[in-house]
Amino acid sequence: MPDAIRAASLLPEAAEEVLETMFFTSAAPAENPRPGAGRALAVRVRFEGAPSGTFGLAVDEAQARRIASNFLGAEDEAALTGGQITDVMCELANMICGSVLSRLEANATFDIERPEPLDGGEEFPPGLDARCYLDVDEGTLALAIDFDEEEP
Amino acid sequence: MGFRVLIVDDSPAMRAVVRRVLEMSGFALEECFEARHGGEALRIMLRHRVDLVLTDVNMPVMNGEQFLLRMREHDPFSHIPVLIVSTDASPKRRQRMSELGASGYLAKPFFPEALRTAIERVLEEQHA
Repeated sequence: MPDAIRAASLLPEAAEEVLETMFFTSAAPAENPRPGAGRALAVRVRFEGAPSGTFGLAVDEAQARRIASNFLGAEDEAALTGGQITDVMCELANMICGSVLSRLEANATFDIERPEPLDGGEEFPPGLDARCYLDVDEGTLALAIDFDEEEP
Repeated sequence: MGFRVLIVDDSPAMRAVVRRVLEMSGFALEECFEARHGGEALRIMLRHRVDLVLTDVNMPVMNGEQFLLRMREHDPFSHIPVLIVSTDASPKRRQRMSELGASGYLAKPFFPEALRTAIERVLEEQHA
């Protein structure tokens, strides 16, 4: 099983690259995480390969709307539907997950499953330990990755 | 005459972004089709002429690898250039897709210019 601490250390650079390249959103490691006051939007992604595991992200809804607007090039941020925002967050999770795995195991291939939005307004994807926080615009993006226990 | 593109990705947001980049890049687009997976893409290709396919790898129902394999086995589609657009940047995956007949590979995330350059390269090779 790969080192979860090393994987967590790769999360910020992978997320920064993805956010700045395709979501036109600047990001930097958060020294004092400040989760948004509003309801959070969380997404979880399963990946299968060597290794297998789960990646997750969570961000407050207002920040998610801004990120979605940047990605889609929307003229009116307020006009975006909840479905569009969720879909963009799923794509963001997909890209960050793929980017982290490529950095972690350059010669391995992975099957990344369709990202799954989580109900319940979680401030953080539940059940995932290796985590980090990034400051993005006016909010905080929480990221986490965990690997499955290997069969003995 | 413009060319006809088929974008294959299970994410509506990603399809919208790729379509927007294509429209803003100055390509002579005649038509832009969209499909959620390989099976849907094949059905579109049976009904419409397609000059270029941009496809993701990880998709439900029929993934990019299965889709490319079916295209290369099916004579009317075997010559159509396919650009892979995937989060999987591993050399192993690139090699596998190349062996299956992919014309190019672009890893996500990418700058809009990189998509335009990759498409231009694929189209140039097609007409070389």
